[in-house]
Amino acid sequence: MSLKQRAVKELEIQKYLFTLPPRRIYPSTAILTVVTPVLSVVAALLIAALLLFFSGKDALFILGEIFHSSFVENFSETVVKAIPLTLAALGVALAFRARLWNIGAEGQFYGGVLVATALALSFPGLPAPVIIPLMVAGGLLGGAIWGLLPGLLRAWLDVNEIISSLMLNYVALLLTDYFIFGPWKDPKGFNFPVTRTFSDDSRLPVLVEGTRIHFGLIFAIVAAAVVWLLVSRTRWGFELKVMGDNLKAARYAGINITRNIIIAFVLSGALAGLAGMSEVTGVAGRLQQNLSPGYGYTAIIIAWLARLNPWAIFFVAILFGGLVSSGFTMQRVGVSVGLVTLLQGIVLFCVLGGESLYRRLLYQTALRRSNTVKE
Amino acid sequence: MFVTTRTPVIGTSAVRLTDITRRFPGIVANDRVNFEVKAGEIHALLGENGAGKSTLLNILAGFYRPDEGEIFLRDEKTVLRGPADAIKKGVGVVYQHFKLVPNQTVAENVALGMRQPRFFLNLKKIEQDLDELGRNYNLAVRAGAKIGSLSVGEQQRAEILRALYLGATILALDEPTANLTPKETEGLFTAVRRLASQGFAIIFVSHKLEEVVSLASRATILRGGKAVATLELKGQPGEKEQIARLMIGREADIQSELELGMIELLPEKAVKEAASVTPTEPTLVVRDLNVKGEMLNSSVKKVSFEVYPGEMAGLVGVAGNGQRELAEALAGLRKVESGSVLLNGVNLANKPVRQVHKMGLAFLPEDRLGTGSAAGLNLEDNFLLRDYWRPEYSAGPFLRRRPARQGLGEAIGQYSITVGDVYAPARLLSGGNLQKLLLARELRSQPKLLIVANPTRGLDINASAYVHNKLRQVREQGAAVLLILEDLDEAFLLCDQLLVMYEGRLMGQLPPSRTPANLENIGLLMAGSSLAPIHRGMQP
Repeated sequence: MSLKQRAVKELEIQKYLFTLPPRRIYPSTAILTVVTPVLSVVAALLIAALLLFFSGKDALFILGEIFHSSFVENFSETVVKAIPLTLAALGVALAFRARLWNIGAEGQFYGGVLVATALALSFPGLPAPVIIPLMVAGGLLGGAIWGLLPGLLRAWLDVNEIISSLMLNYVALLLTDYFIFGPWKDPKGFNFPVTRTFSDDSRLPVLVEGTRIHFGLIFAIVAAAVVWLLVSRTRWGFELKVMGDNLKAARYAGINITRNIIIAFVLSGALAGLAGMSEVTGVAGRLQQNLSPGYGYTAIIIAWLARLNPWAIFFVAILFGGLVSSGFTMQRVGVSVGLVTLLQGIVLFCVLGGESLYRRLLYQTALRRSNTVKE
Repeated sequence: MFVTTRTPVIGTSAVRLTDITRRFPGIVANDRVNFEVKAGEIHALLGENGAGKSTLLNILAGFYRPDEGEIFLRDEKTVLRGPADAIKKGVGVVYQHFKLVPNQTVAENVALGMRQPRFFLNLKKIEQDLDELGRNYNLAVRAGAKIGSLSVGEQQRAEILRALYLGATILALDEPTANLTPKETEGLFTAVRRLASQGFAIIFVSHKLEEVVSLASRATILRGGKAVATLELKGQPGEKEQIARLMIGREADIQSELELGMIELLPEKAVKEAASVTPTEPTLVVRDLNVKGEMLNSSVKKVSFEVYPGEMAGLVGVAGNGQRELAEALAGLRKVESGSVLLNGVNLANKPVRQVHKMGLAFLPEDRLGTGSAAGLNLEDNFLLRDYWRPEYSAGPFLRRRPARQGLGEAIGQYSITVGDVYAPARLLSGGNLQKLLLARELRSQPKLLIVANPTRGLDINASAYVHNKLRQVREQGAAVLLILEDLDEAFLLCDQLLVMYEGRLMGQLPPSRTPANLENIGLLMAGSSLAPIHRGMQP
């Protein structure tokens, strides 16, 4: 094969890698759909084990501990972490469908947090049936506003949404700092940068007795269902899909691209905002620094690994929720927290690598298939 | 660095290609092409779009390797291992779309292509050398200026200077005058003549016959990937006409379609009678249409014409002369600066695409994979692409897939589309099958006017014949059809009238008859000449 031919082929494969996989998976490759991620995780664990081994630790013991604590002993904590991850990842996936790179879920998360907190602090006396729907709406709104900004910039001025949405993350974070160091600081909080604790009525109720799993789980499930309906059953979802594949074809199809970019960003942000609202009212009960350990960024990874499928997002989020919550276990068995981040990185690296290989195989199968029917 | 010593003796062979064949999936782009350029010669390379000129240039530039055949440089058998190797061996290709880094200076762009020196750049020295070189060959460029700040003409000179500086003795220019003003063109020609007189071998790729006969001493004409003739241009009358005929006179494919009985020609009389019997209102009336184009010469300028029901009009011309812009403007995909587009009396200028489509104007763009379809999506999605908003596919905000699946099934049957898997991405369909699918989609809404750009480009003969028949059928059912065609044979076969475009203007309206005089006229109009008695030479 000449260099040129190889380059052309590579280009074709690249194109394929960045589009959604076809709906129908070929029988010969169907098994790979399951095997690939499993093998990838196994590979990641092997690398992690080697790493631990060479730093003089009992690798098997540590990995076993992590698994046991994340998915058996403290599974409820994993679910708690999975709630904001799912919501934010759903939002991110919605925008990614139209190939809009919304990297700003973290900022949109804080957008929701800020509005929800403002409501909780302003109306401490309202009963739960009033304040909670109000805060849900506020969370959605806060995230939506934060998503609207990069959306408008992209739709009207063609400003690269990756940069604008990413930069707005820092703005949101600093804005949060301003409030908790300034006007919202708890006067009785010994000068710590935290707000007052929310009234009991403005806390999301606990869903499973004896755990921290809160009502946000219901939001996550409902959101997954709504997003699924939206992207795969509605005309608007179809428009998003066409935009994601080819903007020129979308224009040719008469799709209002400007409007859809804005709507996609607003919805995407709203979901991340809901994640923020449920985290601050369901888990923390007050606004404090580092409310999110990077949920908005992890959400991007989750959305991709789930191939933007709303239901798959839910399960991948639980896997990552386990990784997030394993940090504490690591410390307990004498491993530094830095290693958790490293482990997450290794998992990500292997899964993405596996995904890339998987799509290559899929592409080649599709090509072979289509070639066999041609005259 | 700058090499003049290699400039060979005038009259010796500079480059010789023997039996070059290069295949791409489904097409033979170069079919045993023989081509020779001598040192000191300006050799024109002519051909319609898709005749194989670009492939040949890319082979010379080292981008493609020929599947078969040999390349001789200065009578020495050579393999060009890549663009860098080609440059090293003295071949410089200046493409129509320049390959320069806009935010670097001319000198820096030149330095980019240099192998020596490895570490220390003396940009001042390069700038001085370039200035001198520019003065010698009438190619003056401000060597210290950034490319982005230069005019198109200057950028081109920078490209040529770079090639010369890197040691090119064989210089290929791909449609060098396409975006130049007449004054710049003249300057370029002076430079090219001077280079040739010093022993450089010049390959001049162009569509413009006037330029070719005034500049080149020989011309090789490519047609359907084959080199059909090499002519000595001696300045005698009739040369232009001869080239025009050679370029467009292909009948082979159409002939074979006829022989295979896949299509039948309508007797000319019948067509004319039909037209005269039904003196109806025109379906499409375009008046004084101005549209801004992608390039200098592709803006549509004050175009007016009509298409009647049951008529197939062909917009012909060399690609890039405004046909695409015109079609896109009609379909609502490009802004109309001024003028009107009346479809059955309703002005569609600057109306949204969907409304235009709803009014009964169907459009199949030339770029089937890039615009006409969302190629990563499956066939069903692509079948729905233009119609998903229609009530038959809607239930509230939801998209009804069942009628779509049914419609797709019908289309696959009716248009005999060969598909492996309806859920595989559309890009895996062959060109012919994709075109059939898109035709099925566009015709489903029974349009009053169908616009198709290059309906059979890249299609094999069976698929072409199928598309031709379908288009005729649409016309016979009373719709108006407007085709944008680069292949004139196709235009003769299908159309009732030909509209010739050149540099965004409508040059004339001619019958599709194949008489030598008419053929010649079309060729001349396409190349920008008027029909008046022809004098040799360039009029600035």
